[in-house]
Amino acid sequence: MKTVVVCFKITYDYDELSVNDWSGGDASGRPRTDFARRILGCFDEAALENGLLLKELLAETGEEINLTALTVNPGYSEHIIKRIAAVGYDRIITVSTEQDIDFCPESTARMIAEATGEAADGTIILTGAQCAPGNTGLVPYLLAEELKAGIVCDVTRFFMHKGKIMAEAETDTGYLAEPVREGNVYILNNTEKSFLRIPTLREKMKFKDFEPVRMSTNQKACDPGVSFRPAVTARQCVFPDEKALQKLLGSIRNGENMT
Amino acid sequence: MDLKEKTVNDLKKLIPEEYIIDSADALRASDPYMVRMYEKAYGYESPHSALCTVKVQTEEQIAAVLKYCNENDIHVIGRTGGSSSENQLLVVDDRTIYLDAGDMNKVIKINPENMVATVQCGINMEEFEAKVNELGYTTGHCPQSRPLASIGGLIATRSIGQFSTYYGGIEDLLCGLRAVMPDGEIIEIRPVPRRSAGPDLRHLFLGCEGAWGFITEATVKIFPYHPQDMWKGGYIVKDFQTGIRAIREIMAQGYRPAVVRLYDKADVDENYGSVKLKDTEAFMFFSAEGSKAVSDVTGAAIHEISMAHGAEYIGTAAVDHWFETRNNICKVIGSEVDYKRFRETGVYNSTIEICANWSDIGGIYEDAIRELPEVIPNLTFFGGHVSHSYMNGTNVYFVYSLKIDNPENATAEIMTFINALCDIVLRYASGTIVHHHGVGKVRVQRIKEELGSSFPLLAALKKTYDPKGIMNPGCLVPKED
Repeated sequence: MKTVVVCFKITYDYDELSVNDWSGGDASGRPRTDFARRILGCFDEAALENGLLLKELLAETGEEINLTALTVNPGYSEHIIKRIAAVGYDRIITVSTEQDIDFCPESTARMIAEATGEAADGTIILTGAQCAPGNTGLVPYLLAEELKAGIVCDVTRFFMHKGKIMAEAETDTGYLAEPVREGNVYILNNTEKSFLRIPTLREKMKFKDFEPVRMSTNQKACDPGVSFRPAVTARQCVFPDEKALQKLLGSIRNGENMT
Repeated sequence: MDLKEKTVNDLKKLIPEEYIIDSADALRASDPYMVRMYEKAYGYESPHSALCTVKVQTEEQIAAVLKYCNENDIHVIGRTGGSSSENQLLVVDDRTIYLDAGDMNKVIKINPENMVATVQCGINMEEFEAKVNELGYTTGHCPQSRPLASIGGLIATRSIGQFSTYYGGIEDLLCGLRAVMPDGEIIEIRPVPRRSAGPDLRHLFLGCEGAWGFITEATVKIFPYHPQDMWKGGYIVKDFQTGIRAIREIMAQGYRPAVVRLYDKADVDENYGSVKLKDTEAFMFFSAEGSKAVSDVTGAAIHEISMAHGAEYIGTAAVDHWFETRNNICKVIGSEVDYKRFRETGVYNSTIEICANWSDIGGIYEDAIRELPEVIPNLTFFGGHVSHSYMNGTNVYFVYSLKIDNPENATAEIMTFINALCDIVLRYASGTIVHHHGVGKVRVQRIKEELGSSFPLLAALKKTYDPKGIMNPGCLVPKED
């Protein structure tokens, strides 16, 4: 049985933050997210959908697979976990940590590697390209290093070709395709399908009492090596209207002093 | 010469050519985006399209165009902001033009002594509100569509705003209007505080949905604007029914909060996430407006009554967040991202608003939440909230998502859900299937059941004021009538 692990992160809907949310963050300099809706990181949502598509392709070849979704995220959301279960994931692993790992891609990668464990050798791993907050984009690469795995970046889709499942990747010179291999990490970016399918209420009801596999980790968050402190204690924020925005852009184009 | 060419040529004799849009691409670009949104996301063309759009600049031009259409059996769909949600603007035949008065967008007069403002029909509601705010007043009318909608359309669809429990619906705000009838006659209902000269003729146009007249100008109330004195409070109640009972008591005791909202857990989890609720809990919040003395008294009473119903007070931050983000939907609706989501997930999201007396509303809510997931297998989300309350009852705004099997036939699948909900609402003596979106070409299928023995009065209005049936056919009144 093949195992496909899709790594995902639950984040906040930053588009829904208000002016006060952006201005009213704590001393860390981050916006206030108390009232923001929890959502899947957009690249990770694409990875989750492509995980399902990969499972369907593998099923066509007669291969039995276990499709696992894995998250290292203090921002756990029961609502989202049940949705992932209802659309066809066989197993969901949540690794909890109380540590702030947003700017610690090494730690996140180690935690994922620890959770995937020895199975990693025969496992196909999918990740999104990046996710806020943090947005380092480094986790997939560091994860591949931890697992000593090959890596294929900018994967846009999986498809069947002459009985083989191929990964298509976008490059500066066009699209390249190669057979999907166990042990590789595939980074999904700019995918053809980018939204995770939505289960019906009936499908969701079957997972009313669903519980993920909960794991804890002994991995310590690393020192990111830099100190993220806001330059000012209170962020000034306005959402410009169209007219103000054009004026602002004009000023930038003209190189005017923006203070 | 075909009908399109003839109509456009004739209209060019009445209206300067630059105000007539007739190329297919330009028509498509000016297509009101709420119409057949799901089908559009898939690139399905509407089976019918307008012959042209006439962007009128004056009341006289409206009169001239309507007179021409009435004499030549050309159908007319009037529009201003284009934000309608019930397919009021959907073209249903091949002899229809859009009469677009979006350019008639001036404030004619603001009269602080009489506390009224007179505006042209095409003024954007957000801009109108900003203009009166600068002078220290508010229109008191803040529908979620405010960034997109114009006053003419809001009157024609009998709109309501988020602060309606204090200021009232558009019917409470409208003092008088001018309109053009299908034969080109211009009429005026003078704005007066009240009159006892027969039935209130304003109501012929409030909710007429363009079915027998084109509103060109409106005089509406304005109110002192005291945002600094607003009282706000957020509460968690043990369940939705407890919230309804608390709101009933607030209203029955005569208090008039501006915002009165009660969300069930599903709606909060799916659409807001602003408050973390357990099990059956519901989120309830209020604002009180007016002078400080009024808002303080109202706020204190709301708090006392809510706490007496076992509510947990959670402060104002969640309410502030709602205030700041409440109209964000207008930024994404009809966008390419929205369409891509439709195409990839196959899921259509929308709302339907119903209303009933206090004695019935809880039953309707419970029946709908229990029954609809059973009978509509493709329902992917279903929740609801209360948003407009009265002495005798309240509304529930049901929010739903449906997985569409056949995108080309999405409207029919959506109607299956709407009809199932209407069936539940109409079981109840005081249930009404439409609270503030208007009937359009969607719930028109149930209008006879909704109005019962009074339906012939509506049909007679259509026959009397639009005898040739040129005005928005199939909207509000079924075509055969």
